[in-house]
Formats: sequence, structure tokens, C-alpha cells
Amino acid sequence: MRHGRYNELYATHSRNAIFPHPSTARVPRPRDSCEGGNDTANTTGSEERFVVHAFPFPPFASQRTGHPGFWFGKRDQNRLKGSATRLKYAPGQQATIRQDGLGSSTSLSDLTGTLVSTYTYDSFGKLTASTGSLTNPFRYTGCEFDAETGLYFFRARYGDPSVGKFLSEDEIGNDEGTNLYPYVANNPIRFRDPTGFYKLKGFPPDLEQQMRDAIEEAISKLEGDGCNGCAGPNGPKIVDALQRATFVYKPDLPYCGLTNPIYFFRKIEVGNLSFDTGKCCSLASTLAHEGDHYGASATDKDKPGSAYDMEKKCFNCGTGHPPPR
Amino acid sequence: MQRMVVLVVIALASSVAGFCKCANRFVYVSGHISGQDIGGVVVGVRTIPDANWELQPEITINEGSFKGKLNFDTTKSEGRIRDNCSRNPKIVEILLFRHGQQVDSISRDISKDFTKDASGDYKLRVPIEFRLQ
Repeated sequence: MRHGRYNELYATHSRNAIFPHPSTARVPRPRDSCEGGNDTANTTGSEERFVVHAFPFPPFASQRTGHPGFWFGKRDQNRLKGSATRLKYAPGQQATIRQDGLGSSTSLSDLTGTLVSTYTYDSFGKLTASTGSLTNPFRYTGCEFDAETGLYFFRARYGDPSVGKFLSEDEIGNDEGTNLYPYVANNPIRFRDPTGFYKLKGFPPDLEQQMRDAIEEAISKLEGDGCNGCAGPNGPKIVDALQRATFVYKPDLPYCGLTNPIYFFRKIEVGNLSFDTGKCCSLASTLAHEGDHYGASATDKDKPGSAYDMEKKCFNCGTGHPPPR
Repeated sequence: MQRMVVLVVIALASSVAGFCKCANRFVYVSGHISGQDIGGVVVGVRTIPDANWELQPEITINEGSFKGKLNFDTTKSEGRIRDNCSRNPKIVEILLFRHGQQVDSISRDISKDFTKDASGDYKLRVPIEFRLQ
């Protein structure tokens, strides 16, 4: 394996393939396969081709915002939990990938609905059992498994499921702790990391634990009853957004929370104010609110289904707000 | 060249887009009601530019004195790619009602009659005096 200037793995020993680095747009044709959905692999004979998003600079552009106002947001509909993805494994032949709650491929079925492959993983994605022989690169959390190296491709980094860690340092920064290699803070049951970036950045230890608790609380509330929960059909989308986001600590942030739906790294910013329940309701509600902008994203607070509406229904927030204007 | 243009567009879009959740900002009011009959009087508070007034059930009148706080929503939407928290109250109006009928009101200017503390809350400089006939 070869590592680049930023400690990124950019080539494997066997085929010398070039893989993308997030800080440069010069690397050609990075493969976008880490999000399930309608990423499709076409495998015909020995030629392996991957659909690359039309946006000029993957992997950034392939990050779905789910925001209906943006032209690449519609794809988010395909990322619902348990959604089926078609895999073309031979000319005219397709298999449907079934995914679990984390987006991991659990089985392949052919067009008649017959199971042709099954997969079972341990917590960090190591394949513990499988049946069938169809080639399916989309495995754990929908990420591409590189059979030659035994690694998962998480876009910014490669991960080794046998040790449950990334191979290279977190690109986003090094002020969240001394260990820059863990996968989703060693909590793979709850989270997934399709971008390869760390979940929490810059939090002091006491606030970091509060953040983790709040993320857990938000996810628990919103995923409770799936689409029939307090947030309706937006619930699974918000949960998905929270599982994929990077949370950044900005102590003096003047808002309860801030998100930029088209920011490349899916960043959600919180500050000291965010922890003030008198000012911002609960931290979990704030995170869900910001996740809503990625996941479901009705921004008009007067509309049912908006982030504010979700907070009111799920977290009992906003009861002191003035009547709609 | 084409890539450069796209990069510039992305950079601009990233810098202007953003959705924030605004912190609650409270307007604190206090005052005293004097007069021969203040029984059955309730206090209502409204802020302008908000269109509607709302009764403040948590404002209790105790021997003619009252204290209360009003939550002001500072969210200002700027379309589908951005919103911010720059909305500010301008006028605070305190109203007295008896049996659903308004019997008195006083307006105060936020910029002149209130102080803004470090957390962004507004506090009345001088308590309000109502004199009911």
C-alpha cells in the first residue's frame, strides 16, 4: 500500500489503483459506492466499472443533502433504511440488495425474489458468514469491500474490519483526542461513517460525553417507530443524517446549532449555548433539528413537518414560542 | 477553467448557505398596578413586530405587582439556503384585560427602555406603573 502526503492510502499493492483524497480534485474517477441507494456496480466479465456521480468533484458531491431545494437532493429518497438497491451482475441480470438498519447488505435476491447470497457481519464489518457466490462489492454499511486488500472504502479513509479501525488519521483534525484511527468512536452499532471522518471534533471531554448521550437520545426518539414515530416519515431520514454527520464544537457559536446543507463534510456545529436548555431546549432536540436540515429539511418554521414542528412533537420544545406570524 | 468556475460557485454557496436554530431570547417585564379595583385583571404582553399578542399565564399579579417574561423568536428566514437569528423586537406592549376587555396598555421601546444582557435577553430598565380608575 502507498500512503500520500496526508497519510491517505492512495494505492494498493496489487493493482496500483489511484484512490481519491478529499483535499484535491485532481484525482480522477473516485468510486462512489459508500452510501447504498442507487449506487450501482456494473460487473461484466473482467471489467469492473462504477457509476460516478455527475458532479465534478466526488467524493464531496456525492454526499446527499436530502434538501429538496438542491438538485442532487432527490437521491436521498433512495437511502431510506431497508431500501433495496439493484445490482447488475451480468448483462440482463440483476439482483436486489437488502440492507439492514445501518445500510449493510444482508442478502441478495434475484428478480424472482429468490435469495442468492446472504451476509453476516460482526460489529465492525468483518464478514462472519456468507452464502452464495455473486460478486457484491457493497457490504458493511453499504460501503465497498475491496476483496484484494480486505479493506472497506470509506471515501476519505480505508477501514480494516479485522481490527475495527481506519488505516489512516482523521483528515478533519486532531483536536478531538489522541486516537485518530477509531471507527465511529467504537460505537458501530449506533453509527456509521460513510465519509471516513470522525464524528466529534473539538469537544472538551465533559461536553463530548454529553454530545454522545444527546446523539443517542435523539436517534432513540426518532427511530422509535420508524415512519410512524413523532417525526413521521422524516424520522428515519433525520436518524440517518445524525449517524453520518460530523459534529464540530465552536464554543462561541451564537446559535443553538448551525448546519450547512451543502457543506462537503456534513458538518453540524454546536457551541456552549447549545448546552443551555433554557435557551435551546434539549441538546438532543437541537441535534435532531440540525439533522433535519440534512435529512428532511423543511426549513419554514410555520409549516407542519418543519424542523421546529419536529422538535415540538418529539422533544416538547418550542411551547413558549409566539404564535405563527 | 471549468473546474475553477465550479469551485468558486461551490465556495460561494458554502459560505452563504446555512440553517441555524436560534436560541430563545426573553423579554423581561415588571411593573405595578394600582387602583381601587384590580380584581380579575390579567396581563398580556406582545412584542412588535410579532402580529399577535398572547396572554402570559405565568404572569401573576401579587398585591398589584407583576413580573413576567416573553419569548421572542429571533429566527429570520432568508429563503431556502439560509436563515439567521437577526430578528429583533422593537416595541413591547403590556396590556391589561378584565373579563376579556382591554382596560389599559403601555408601550415601551426596546432600544430606549430595555437593556440587553450578555445572553441576549432584554430587561426593562424601570418597572411599569399602571393606574386603574
